[in-house]
Amino acid sequence: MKLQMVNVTRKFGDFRAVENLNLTIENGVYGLLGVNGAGKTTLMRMICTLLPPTSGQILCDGKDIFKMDGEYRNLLGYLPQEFGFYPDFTVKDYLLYIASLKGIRPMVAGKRVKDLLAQVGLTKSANKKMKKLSGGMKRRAGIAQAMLNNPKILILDEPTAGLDPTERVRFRNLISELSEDRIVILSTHIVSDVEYIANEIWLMKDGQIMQQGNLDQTLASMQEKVYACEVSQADATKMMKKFKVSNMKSERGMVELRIIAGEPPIAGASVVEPTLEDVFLYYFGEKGGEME
Amino acid sequence: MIRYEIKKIFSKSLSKVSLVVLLFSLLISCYFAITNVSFLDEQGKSHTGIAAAKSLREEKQKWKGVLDEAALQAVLDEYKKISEEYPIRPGDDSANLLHDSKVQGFSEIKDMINMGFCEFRDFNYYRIDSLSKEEVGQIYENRGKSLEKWLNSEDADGLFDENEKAFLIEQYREMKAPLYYEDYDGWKSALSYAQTIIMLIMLVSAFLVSGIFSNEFSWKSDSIFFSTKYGRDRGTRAKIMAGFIVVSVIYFIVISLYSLVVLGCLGAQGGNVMIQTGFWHWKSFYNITYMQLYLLTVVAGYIGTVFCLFLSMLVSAKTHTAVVAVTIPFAILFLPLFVSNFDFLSGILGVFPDRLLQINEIINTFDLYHIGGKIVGSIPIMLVIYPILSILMVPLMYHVYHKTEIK
Repeated sequence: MKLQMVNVTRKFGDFRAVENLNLTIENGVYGLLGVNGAGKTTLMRMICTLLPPTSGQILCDGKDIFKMDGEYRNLLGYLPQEFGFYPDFTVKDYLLYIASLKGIRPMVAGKRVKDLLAQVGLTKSANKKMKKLSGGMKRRAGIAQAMLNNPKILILDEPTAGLDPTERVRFRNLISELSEDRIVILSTHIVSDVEYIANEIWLMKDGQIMQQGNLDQTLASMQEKVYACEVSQADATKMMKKFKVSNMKSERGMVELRIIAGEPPIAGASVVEPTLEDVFLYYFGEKGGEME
Repeated sequence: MIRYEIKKIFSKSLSKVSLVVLLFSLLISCYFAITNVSFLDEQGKSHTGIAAAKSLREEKQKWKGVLDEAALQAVLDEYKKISEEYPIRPGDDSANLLHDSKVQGFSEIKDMINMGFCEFRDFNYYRIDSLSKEEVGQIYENRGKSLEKWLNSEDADGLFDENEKAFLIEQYREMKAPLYYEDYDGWKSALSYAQTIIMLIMLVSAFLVSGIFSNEFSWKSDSIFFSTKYGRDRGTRAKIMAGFIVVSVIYFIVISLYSLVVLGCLGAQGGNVMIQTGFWHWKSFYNITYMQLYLLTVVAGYIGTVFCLFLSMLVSAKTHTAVVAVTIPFAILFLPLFVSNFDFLSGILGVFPDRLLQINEIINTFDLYHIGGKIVGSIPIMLVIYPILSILMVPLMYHVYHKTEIK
């Protein structure tokens, strides 16, 4: 299974949400990182045939996905950022309905729904109405619907947004479990999600991929170093204006800073190992404040 | 898939409320239709209900038969006898009600005679008083003459061309005379409120089906729907089918219940009576019976309902909101009221879809159209145009929804 994006551009009026994108995607987990408005959701929607590119082509094993139509969507599982559902459907009915939309025969669908409910831990809630589920349970129902057709391409747009830490870890593990032998594209602005489960990381800004590679390659791509230092509260305020500060921690009247810079910000600052959050801040600048 | 689409429709609270409103409206309509028939007892006191309808039916069935010259003369004789014994006294309600109670068995025939001997655009309730036995037999001949006289008068100047006049005269001639009479109160009453119940079905159904496409967007389930293998084709077709099934099932269940209750209570006799027999449709150029008129009302109402609701669904598919879509049937029903003063729109308004819901009224109108060198009334045209338009909307709805982009 190979997905290719060839010179893909999507415009909304004069605004270019995705610009001249060229990517080749094979089996594995791809983490798409970027701030809000970077073009992640537009890219996801194009891959899901919800939105055609203004120019360029998206190919699946060499064939245009928009021409493949249902044949392509048969390979697809999608959990959108804004996961909507039918409020008065039970979880089971909801999954059976989506199964019918995915062309799964009723007999097979019943078994598949039962298995997936067990896998996502919703067996006991099968007959609960969707509107009665908690945020985490809804997301799990969402991943279950995406997995119904055992998709070869699984697209997850901000799958952990709004989940509490426990649910997020649980959900992350579930995605790792489901990622065997398929393409998983995970779009998020939560750095740790990508750090834990992605084989390859794409950093997206202004509709373009600025950096792509595995975690080590991504960390190595920084042209600057990460320094740790301890300063007074007053100095910390000054340094935040001057440098990209990826973390600060106050303790006993002093502040521990984590700074990204080309040279030591102050005498005595020590070089530390970079993390993906540092890389995120490095590429996305002042918007790094949105990181978790 | 269709089952789930129907389930989506009925899972909404608004749908449940709509159905309760429709059920309540059905009960009210049945009540009004049944109590529409009143019987005056020996003292001139009015009664309604099933027993009253039965008493009136017994009175009317005494006059059952072909309304030839002899029958009409018998009516005239009886009327004059009653009028002498129980005269109408202006201002004396009890005397007048007593008079009415005596003539109620043949009141429709009496009114038909009144209509038949008045000028075409006039009605004189007491015209029968001045009629002779020799004259009354000429009623059918007089009907045609009265029309011709009016068509050639200044009143009708510019309304019809020569071909249209000839068409109307020919239609009048084609009515088989003498007419046959028996009590048809059940059909008449059912027809009176059928229009109301059909309109209510349409308006209530609009709340049910107008969100059939747009709800995917309001529930934010659109992305998943359109990213599935069959969302854009079979899923879309299932929505159209679900809309059609819901509208059809509701329509026929409600109309059947209404017809069964009203005709069951008032009696279904008289279905073979021509609609010209009596007061309301004497001038109609559509030569059909009451049962045919009722069936025509039901079928035309169904066509109109399906058309309006398909249009509503199409708007919902295009705009992704039910707010505009739900107003379509209301606009179709009420728009003609606001634009009827514009003469240049009269041709279009004559075949506007709201008219499909008002067959009992437009059966009396002289809206004529030239189609392929032939002259036809508005009803046959609408019965052809709107099914075609409804069918054409199906691929259009499919295409619009199939091509949806999620931005």
